[in-house]
Amino acid sequence: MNTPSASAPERSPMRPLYWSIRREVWENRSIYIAPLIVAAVVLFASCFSVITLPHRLQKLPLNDPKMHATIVRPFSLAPAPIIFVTLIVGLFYSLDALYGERRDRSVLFWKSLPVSDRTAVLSKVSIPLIVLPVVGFVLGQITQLILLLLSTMVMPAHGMSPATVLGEFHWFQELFVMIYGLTVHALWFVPIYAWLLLVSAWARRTPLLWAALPPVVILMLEKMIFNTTYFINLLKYRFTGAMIEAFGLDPANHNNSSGVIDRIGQLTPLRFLSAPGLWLGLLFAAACLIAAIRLRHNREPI
Amino acid sequence: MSQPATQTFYWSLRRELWENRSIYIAPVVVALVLLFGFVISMHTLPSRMIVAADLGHTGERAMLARPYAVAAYLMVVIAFIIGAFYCLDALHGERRDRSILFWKSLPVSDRTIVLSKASIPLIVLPLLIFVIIIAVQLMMLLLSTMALLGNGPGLMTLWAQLPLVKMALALIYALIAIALWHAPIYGWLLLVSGWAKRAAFLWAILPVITILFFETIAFRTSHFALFLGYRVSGWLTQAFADQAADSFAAEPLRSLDPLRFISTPGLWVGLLFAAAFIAAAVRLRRNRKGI
Repeated sequence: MNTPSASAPERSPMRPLYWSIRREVWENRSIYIAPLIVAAVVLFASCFSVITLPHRLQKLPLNDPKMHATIVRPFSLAPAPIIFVTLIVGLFYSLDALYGERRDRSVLFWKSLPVSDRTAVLSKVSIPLIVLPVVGFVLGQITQLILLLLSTMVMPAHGMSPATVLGEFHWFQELFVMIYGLTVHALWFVPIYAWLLLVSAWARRTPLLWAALPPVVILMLEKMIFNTTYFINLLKYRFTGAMIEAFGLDPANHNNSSGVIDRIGQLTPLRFLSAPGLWLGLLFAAACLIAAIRLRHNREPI
Repeated sequence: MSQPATQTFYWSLRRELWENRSIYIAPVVVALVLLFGFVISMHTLPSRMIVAADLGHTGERAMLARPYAVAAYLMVVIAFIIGAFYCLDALHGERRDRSILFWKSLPVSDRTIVLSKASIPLIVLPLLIFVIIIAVQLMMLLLSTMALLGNGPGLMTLWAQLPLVKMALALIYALIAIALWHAPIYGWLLLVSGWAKRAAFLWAILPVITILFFETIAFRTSHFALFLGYRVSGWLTQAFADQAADSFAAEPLRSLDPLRFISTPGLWVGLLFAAAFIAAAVRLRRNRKGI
């Protein structure tokens, strides 16, 4: 019973989007290769600090307040470089996404398929918004688990119970904090990705230069005309604001100076959701994306 | 009829300038923005002249020369950024749009092509930036003169105290030092651009970031970060004896220190690396096709 009607399922609007995303991952292998390389390096480097962990613990007096941070840091901070690299990959991916296909003229082929410009642009923006955070999450978790396993082997070798690490390291809370942090940062950085996609749909050459030039010019003009720095503060807020708004890091109730965030109590989702910067950023992102869709509709190969 | 080597090299250079118009458009745009900002801030010039007159000889010269020095410095930074992006795209772009197939069909060797591309950030951009900076500074002087026309003594001090010629000589020296010092950076970017299939910028910085992370996590030191900073801004500390901004603006020629710059091992090691990177880029281009 291999009739065409039976094998052709109802075309759901999600199908083209799903395959467009798979196409992006196929074409841009740096999406997973770059985080993989960094994960391997981080794992290798963290092995050193895990192996020396018993030595450092033996030097600390019992019930030292730094105890918790010393134990947790190698495991807690291991995913950070991986996630940082996924952010960078996201930036460069967005900058190349709509520019590259015009430059190598493959846009002619992709436009000949029955996939709308909206689906194509949305699939491209979902790479830094969804795919890369997931890649960062999975690789970060794997790295953490391998390091924890390693610690259970290293600690008994120095006459310490492996439960020292496992007792201090709140795996479930860390997991939750990581998911929360990734979601928050993805939402906070959407306007940056959308702006880069817009430039990538518009520029005929050197999109990176065109993406950076307007902010630099505005910065210089503001400094020279008004001698103020509102714009650079705005940019700084855009890059670091997610940390400020979404996590309770104010020094008043901040008892460990290690910068480790590993408790659910340190999260402030309500403050994050009520930050006007979040919603203004999302509005700006939507405008940029709509403009990018229109541009892709009208643009030919370079 | 054999074409002399310099002839093909010259035309390869012109081709690069034709194809990458941002090499001269971007600095000109930034220069115009700088001039615009200068015009806006000019209404405070007469009062600044009065303040400067009370600062004594060096202070007065420094205050008068500062906007000119700042403009020059900004243009130099812009030139570095443009040169870096140009290099990253130079060998990548022609493979990506497959025009490399056409360029390889011409009787021009890969060495000539890569050298012409390397000489854009090393020779063409410094020359261009020098001309633009001089033009900007002359325009600034002209505008200040017009603003001070009703102010006799202020105008006299401006023309008497502004060390414009000395600044130009120091600028030539600085541009040569910067080009030599940054040569390995440009060479590395050219090499990555010849090698990467996609996302050249990412592949250029990924090794750097990875080494940084590795060193921080494994040894908790920051030698590599210091080394990077030295590679980017070391020309300033090695080629100039006195880096204080004010005394430099007042007496540009006194702080030049070419002997120390030439005897810095970092310069020669860097140039060796640059030569190795460029040689590797030539070999890569020989074997590569369009992507």
